[in-house]
Amino acid sequence: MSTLRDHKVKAAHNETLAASLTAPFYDWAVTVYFYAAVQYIEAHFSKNMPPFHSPSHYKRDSAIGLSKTLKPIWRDYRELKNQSGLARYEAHINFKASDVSKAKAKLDTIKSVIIPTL
Amino acid sequence: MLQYAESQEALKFHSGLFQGSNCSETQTSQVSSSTNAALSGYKPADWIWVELSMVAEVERVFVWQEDDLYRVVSVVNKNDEAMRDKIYERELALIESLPTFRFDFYVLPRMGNELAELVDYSTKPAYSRR
Repeated sequence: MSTLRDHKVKAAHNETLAASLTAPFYDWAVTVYFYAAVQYIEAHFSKNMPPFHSPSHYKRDSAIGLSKTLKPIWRDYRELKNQSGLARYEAHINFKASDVSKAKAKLDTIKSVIIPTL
Repeated sequence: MLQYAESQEALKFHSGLFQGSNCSETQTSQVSSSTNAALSGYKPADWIWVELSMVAEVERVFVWQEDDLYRVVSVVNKNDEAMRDKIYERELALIESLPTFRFDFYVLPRMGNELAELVDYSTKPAYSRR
């Protein structure tokens, strides 16, 4: 089971990768921003006693939706998750630089709520 | 979030629009919370499609159940974030209303394509807007 530190390191790792991706890999940049968000959220849950680790996205979704602390970032997390799914599976949808900027902004919002709790 | 009385009206309203096979009024809801006990007689899948169909841009709702997990796909036409936000609010309402269940939500913009060109959903939609 990963520790709080592990999750924070992995989150920063993913964030660095996302920021390094340029055209035409906007789809992957959006996806990696989502996985950075996942690591920040897992870092938050790892602080629970006993620590909680969500083994799947749907269990994480419910945990976010039912958490007073995390509920305010539901729409940001949910948009990142949806965009990640569209980027990987829907070939008819093209991603632009603006989509990456929006994804980064959503990650920043998520971090602004989670980092103070860590 | 739909209140019970509103949901009953919505179910009646949508019964004329309903084209799928996932909606049954004969099965008892497994929802245990007191709020949703009033929904006895309806499956959680009914609650799901009613809630999501409240967003005018949602054209179809697909619902698959796997034990306590509901996989839900809302089909829309445009790839629009503001519209998705409205759907996400409804999804959150479902998580709060049905806390004993788990959800895997997805919003699929078809962007002018016929849905059949994008996916092969053998399941009939729980909800289709006419």
